[in-house]
Amino acid sequence: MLKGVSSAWLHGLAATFIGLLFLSVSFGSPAAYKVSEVAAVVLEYPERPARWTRRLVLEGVSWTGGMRKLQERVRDLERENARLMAALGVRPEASVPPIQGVVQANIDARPPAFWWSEVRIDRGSSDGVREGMPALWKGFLAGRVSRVFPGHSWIDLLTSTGLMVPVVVDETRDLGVLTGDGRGGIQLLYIPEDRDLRPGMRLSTALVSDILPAGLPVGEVSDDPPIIEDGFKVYPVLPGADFSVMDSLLVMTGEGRP
Amino acid sequence: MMNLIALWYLQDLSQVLLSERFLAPDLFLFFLFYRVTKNPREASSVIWVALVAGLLWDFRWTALPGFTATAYASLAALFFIIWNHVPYSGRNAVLFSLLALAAQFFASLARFLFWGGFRGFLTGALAFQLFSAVPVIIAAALAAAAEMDEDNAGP
Repeated sequence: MLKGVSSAWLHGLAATFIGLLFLSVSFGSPAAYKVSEVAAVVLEYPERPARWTRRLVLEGVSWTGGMRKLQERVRDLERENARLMAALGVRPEASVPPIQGVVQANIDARPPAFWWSEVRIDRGSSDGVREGMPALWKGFLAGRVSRVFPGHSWIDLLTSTGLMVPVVVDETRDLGVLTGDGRGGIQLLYIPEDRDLRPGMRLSTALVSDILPAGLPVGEVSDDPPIIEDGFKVYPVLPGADFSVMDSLLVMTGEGRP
Repeated sequence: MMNLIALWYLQDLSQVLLSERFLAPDLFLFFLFYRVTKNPREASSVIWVALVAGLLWDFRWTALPGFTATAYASLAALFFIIWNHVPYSGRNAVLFSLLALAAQFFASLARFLFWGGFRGFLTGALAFQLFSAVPVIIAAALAAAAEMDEDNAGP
């Protein structure tokens, strides 16, 4: 055994010496690179199964990573969709087609003499419409049912001087009253002089209203500067409903009815 | 001979699979260790086989002919010498595993020291090489231990 070990020492030293000799001689040698190239060429075919496997694995990993990204994207879109649905939730006519609780009505008459005051719709008491119900246009409050007949009803518009709607400024929770000027404009009344509202602040019906449900979007504070009357600021309001082009309304007959 | 070629080829395929990211464990070296434990008379030839196989590996992968050859030959010789210096009763799977793991460690360390410019990449690659060698070493150690048990049982 010892003979074998000494032999191993000798063979080991010799082999190591030859190895080091190769290393010192071939370091940076063009011949060594040539041989390396030949080795790569010769082994190209035997190594193909491993190359294919490697490519398959890498493509699989890439595909899996792509799938994960797609799944994340789908989740992002679902979350965004949920947020949009929630946003649409405050616009019932936009998110919910005419169903129980909401009656779709066409405006079939609009007297020129009372152009900014009232419109007539083709739905009445036989359709569930009752006096005081809110009428919406594209999710925004447009008016309130004032008179009801079996086959038609009349709606007082927000632009009417006869309709006063308690509203709240969503951003500041300031309360005020909305009324029309009879010429197509809407004003926000009773905002204390020391309060400042910025243009674009949103308005919705207030909880204090005894005629309309709370939370219906109405419009936003206009860019025009307020005027002061009797110690209160009067802000011009941009209504959400376009009173010039509306040809149909949604009447809320179910939940949220005053 | 066919076994040696097959093992070298297996290590080569492993390196192809792991190339660009990791270094394959030195399967061929472990097989040589197994061979010298199985038949100590082959020790001398195994050392030269290690040199040739290492040289081929260098031509294929390192472009530094002699580097792996030196490592393989010296490690094979050292393994055999240490293994044979331990009393027969102490030659078991644990000793085999420790020696083989040490050999893998020093082979990895030599690469790490030699390719100093790529140490950032090599640290992970060599760590992988060391850890991936463990199951192979255990398998080789168990095979060697089983072989020794058979020898002890005798005819």
